[in-house]
Amino acid sequence: MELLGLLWDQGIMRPMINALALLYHYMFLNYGLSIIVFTVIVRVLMIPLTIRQTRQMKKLQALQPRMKAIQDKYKDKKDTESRRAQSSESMALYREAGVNPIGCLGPMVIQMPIWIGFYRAIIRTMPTTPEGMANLSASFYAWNPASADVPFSRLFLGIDLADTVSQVYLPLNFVLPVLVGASMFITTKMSSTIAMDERQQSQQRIMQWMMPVMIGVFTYQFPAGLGIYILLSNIVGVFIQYFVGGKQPIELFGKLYLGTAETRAEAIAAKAELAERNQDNDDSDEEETTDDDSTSIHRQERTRGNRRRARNSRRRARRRRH
Amino acid sequence: MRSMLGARRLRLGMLASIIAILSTVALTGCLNDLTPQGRWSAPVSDGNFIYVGNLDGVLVRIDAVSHAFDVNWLYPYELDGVRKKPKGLGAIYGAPVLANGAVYAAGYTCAGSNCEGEVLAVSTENGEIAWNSGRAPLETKLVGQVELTINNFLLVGTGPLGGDREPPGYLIAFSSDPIAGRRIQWRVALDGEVLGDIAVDNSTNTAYVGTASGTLYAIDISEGDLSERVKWQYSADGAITGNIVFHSGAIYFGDLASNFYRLNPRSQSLDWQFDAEAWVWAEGIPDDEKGTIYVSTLGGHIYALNISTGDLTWSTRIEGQIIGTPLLFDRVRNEFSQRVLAVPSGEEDVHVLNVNDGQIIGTFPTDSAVKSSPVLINDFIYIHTLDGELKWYSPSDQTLQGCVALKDGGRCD
Repeated sequence: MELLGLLWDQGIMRPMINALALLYHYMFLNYGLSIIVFTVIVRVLMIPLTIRQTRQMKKLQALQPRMKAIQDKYKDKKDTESRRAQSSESMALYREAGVNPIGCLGPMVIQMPIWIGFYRAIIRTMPTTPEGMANLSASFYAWNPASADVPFSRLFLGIDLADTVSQVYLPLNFVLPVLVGASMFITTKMSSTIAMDERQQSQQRIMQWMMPVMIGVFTYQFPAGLGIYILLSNIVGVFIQYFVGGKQPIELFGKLYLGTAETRAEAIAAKAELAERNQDNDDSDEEETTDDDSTSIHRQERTRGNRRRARNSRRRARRRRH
Repeated sequence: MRSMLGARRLRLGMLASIIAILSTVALTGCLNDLTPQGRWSAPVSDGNFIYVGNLDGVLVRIDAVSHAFDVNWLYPYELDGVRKKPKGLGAIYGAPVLANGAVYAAGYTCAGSNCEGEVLAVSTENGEIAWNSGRAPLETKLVGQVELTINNFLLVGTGPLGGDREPPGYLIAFSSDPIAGRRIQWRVALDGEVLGDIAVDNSTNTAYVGTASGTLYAIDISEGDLSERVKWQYSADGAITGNIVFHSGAIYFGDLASNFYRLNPRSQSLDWQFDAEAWVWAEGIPDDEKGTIYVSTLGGHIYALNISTGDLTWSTRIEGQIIGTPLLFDRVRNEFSQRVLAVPSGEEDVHVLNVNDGQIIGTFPTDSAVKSSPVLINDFIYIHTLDGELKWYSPSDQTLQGCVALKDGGRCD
């Protein structure tokens, strides 16, 4: 645990605090500007990861029909052996295509510590208490000229960046969380694949709504500096994702925006294919309903029989003891 | 269908839990950074009792001889039946000041940029407010020690008042008089918040106060309505957060640009400046006998400088930050007296240094960080540790003699 703390402090917090402070020193002693530049640098540094994520997503998308075929093949086989076979066939498919099914989560996982670190870095570089100020001195590298600039000016566009968003003036205290949530919604929407079945689609829908709403709500209690960072990071992320991802159109509330003629046509075709497949699934589900009912009756009978047998054997054992 | 729904719920639950855990870690991890902790308050004594601000921002006292905790004397409090229940200010940083049968101090707490502070004048006799007109709340940060002047002003340095952003700080003068007291006599707007102690030169009616914007102000503290109280000001390279010292006609202070300065108040000019390599927070200790001033830093450096020229005599370094002001005293061992410097470490312990060469020749073991100043009272060295205990030691051999938890008076030795 101590080692983790040391790694966190020396590997994330200190470099982040020094980078922010150094930017403040060279960005005309303006903390807001240093946050903006820091955000752009972080997003640019993460472009290779974004490219990797986009490629993985495309490969995953291309595999969807074959994955669906495997799922259909084992649809009615619930035994362990079949599940294992299904799993190994899926993995073989992933291996063959060079895809890591959880590889898409990489940038998100990497972003989380950056956010938390940034949150802590903002608070630590703009201390409001005497001990906070004294602690800050221990975080500076000896060569960092910004240590002489402490305390940093916290005002940017009339906002105290160390204050929580809830303390920012009206209406910005409400507008900022909404903008953060909206930008996150678009980012999530852009980075999700086209769902191949209804189940996946509904899962995606929940994710696309839950994350932005949660982050939007949290933003209200975040320092304003962090709120600005998340907003900017999302906006820059949308641009990067758009160009790295081959100018894919963004679907918002049933309508397509941006994209080229070609990518829009592709998206429309994929949507039509999905609708068709869902229709097929609905038809086959109706047919299976009767089978399902009979299977469940058999299962209930089997369970009742097992219970009866267990009760009898317990009785026999008791009689033997007497 | 049911199992599908269950799996989905499980996945959503897991995601929500991960986000909740991460947010909780991030939010709770920052609480300490946002809330003033205090515990830097050094003890002070009138010979009978030892007064100190505890970890909840409550003024408490112990008997100077028996070291018994006085449960009937504490402030601020609320009544729980007939029993006094502490209701602290949050954080008290400065040492209390004793005068006119009262203990003067200041404390505060903040929620975001909204701060609630109070200047205290508590009767040593009964532990009640000494001012007839009651308590003196101030919606601001009150970090530095309050200062009393011979013309009965009680000076406090502050941050911005009442949630305003401008001006970012004030020097406020109350009357210390029990009848006229609590009333603000005058105030001077400053260019930054005041975090350190104020120095007073009663001979010229001048108070010296430093701000976090790096300005040292010389303020006229004469009685009467003056149209302008700022006599002159000096701009340092960095923020002035530590204490100002006025000694033998010169002003000494450090800043966060790692400098230590000596100013001549008569010519309002710089006598010398020393590069201390780290932020200077604790006040310089002048040693007239040796013609030296001891300067310490948050980097753990201790420098002995020639007080007239600022030239380095020796330097040494200890583990941890030096925030509390070191104590200069004569250590007597086997009838041999030796002048030493007790330096509190923000890491742990108080180190004893030989003032001739800076060698560490002993340690007061504290088992906790120390950010307050060690104090010599009745032949014991008293140390208020960051974990909220008051410990006393033999100055000659640094052995622990006793310990009391300042929160509830329980013995900890």
